[in-house]
Amino acid sequence: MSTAPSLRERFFRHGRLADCPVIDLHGHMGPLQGARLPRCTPEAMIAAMDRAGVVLTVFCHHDTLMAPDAGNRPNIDAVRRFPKRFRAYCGINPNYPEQIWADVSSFDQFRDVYVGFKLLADYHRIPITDPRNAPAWEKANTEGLLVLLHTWGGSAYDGPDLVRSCAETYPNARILMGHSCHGQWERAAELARDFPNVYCELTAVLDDRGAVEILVRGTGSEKVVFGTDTPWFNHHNYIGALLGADIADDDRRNILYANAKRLLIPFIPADLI
Amino acid sequence: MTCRFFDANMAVGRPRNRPLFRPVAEAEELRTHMASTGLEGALIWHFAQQDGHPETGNMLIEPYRTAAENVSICWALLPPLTAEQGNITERMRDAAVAAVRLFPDAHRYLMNGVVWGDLLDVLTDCCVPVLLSLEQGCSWQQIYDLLADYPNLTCIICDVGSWSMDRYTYPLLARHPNVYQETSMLSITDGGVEAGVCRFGPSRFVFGTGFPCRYVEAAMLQLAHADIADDDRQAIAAGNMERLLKESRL
Repeated sequence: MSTAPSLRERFFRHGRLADCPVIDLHGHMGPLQGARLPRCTPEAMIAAMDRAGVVLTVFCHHDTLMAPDAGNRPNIDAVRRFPKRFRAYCGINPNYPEQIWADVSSFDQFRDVYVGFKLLADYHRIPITDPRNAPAWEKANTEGLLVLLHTWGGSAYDGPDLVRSCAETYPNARILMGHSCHGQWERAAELARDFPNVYCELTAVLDDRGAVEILVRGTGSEKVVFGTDTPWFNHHNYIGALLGADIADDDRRNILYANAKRLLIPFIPADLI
Repeated sequence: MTCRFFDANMAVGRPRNRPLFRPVAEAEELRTHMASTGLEGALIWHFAQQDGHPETGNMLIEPYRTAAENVSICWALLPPLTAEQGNITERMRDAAVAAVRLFPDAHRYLMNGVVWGDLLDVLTDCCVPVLLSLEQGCSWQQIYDLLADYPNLTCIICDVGSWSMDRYTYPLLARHPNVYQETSMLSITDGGVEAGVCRFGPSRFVFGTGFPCRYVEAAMLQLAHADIADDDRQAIAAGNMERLLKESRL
């Protein structure tokens, strides 16, 4: 009786696998104020993606999120330069609601760029439920767009109770809980289990041994997606953590690409993913 | 290339408060863990060395030393003036302990020459590695203070945090020739290991996993496929730490 080599064995041997591509649903781009990021240009990011078999990254540029005057132009430019490797979340900063109106109004001009919205409420200090975010939420809800949230356990801006409220109010928006309500893993799993439109996401989860097992057992691997905060975190480090977790290879495949593919297919040519 | 891995940053025993992760609670579990993950050696510490009195932890770690081949242990130290550990250097020599850890937050002391006096001069002269963890109570200011007073101390900075800490670590690596960085968290930063090797050479980095708090495979897979030369990879994976332990001579 022969046993097929495990994903663990094959990733260690080859570094990337054609039959197990990776889709990174939580990326950024560009330099960051609080940390030196050696590989933050789109070119360097693509080289890093190639080493680990990451076929597509969906990101929101740091400048968009941290420097409102930059707007979403860095996202648009990067995706249009490298349309086979990147898609973007339209970055939303509710401190400047007039900009949200402008970005939502122009969203359809950039259908080749965007797959949804990114809210970074812990940094912008305005809850995800705040009415100033409503234009983005309503568009996402109407069109079934992705909304990548930064979520953190105990947060007054994007904690689990607020995610629940958004999931109830916008049942057609596909909500990715970035960081899976970090530290409140059971609550994140519960949300993903309770709402068909809510997913756990693994950035900053995989450096806590045991958390991904809680998510997978709590909601099933079909509701967990892969992300790295790239260019912050290394793909191989995160893939390695997933290989070390006490879950099955089928779960790993769901997390690394199958779930993301299902989420992205309405927005992206099938041959890219 | 197949790497040999020596884990410079692994903890055994149970923490005071029940953790999210499953701890290594018995020596046999350490043997099983190393065999299943392919680790060929480790420098370990015990949670009780921080959560309890260091002398309790130093005693509790002893059975793990023989759990597998190529396992070395750290002892936790206290400042000498309270005389809680007797003649610690003599005891370390008798017990063949080649490395130490400091837990300044849990054990309530500062890290400078006023507090440590001649003891760290002796460890400096004897090339005894002192492991300092940012996750286990060492702050950057404390590490800078310590190295200002003991500039040639063999010092391994561990668990640097999930944000890239190059702006903290590079000045220390540039100024102090015996400062090393452990890679469990450096390996999380995309390109962090490669940039460090490019700037300081491979000899200043030692492989570690942060197990059982983190997955062993994370740092392993990163280093296995890092964009560096194979000789550099192997030096970081095992050679550098094994050399430091050999050079330690109380």
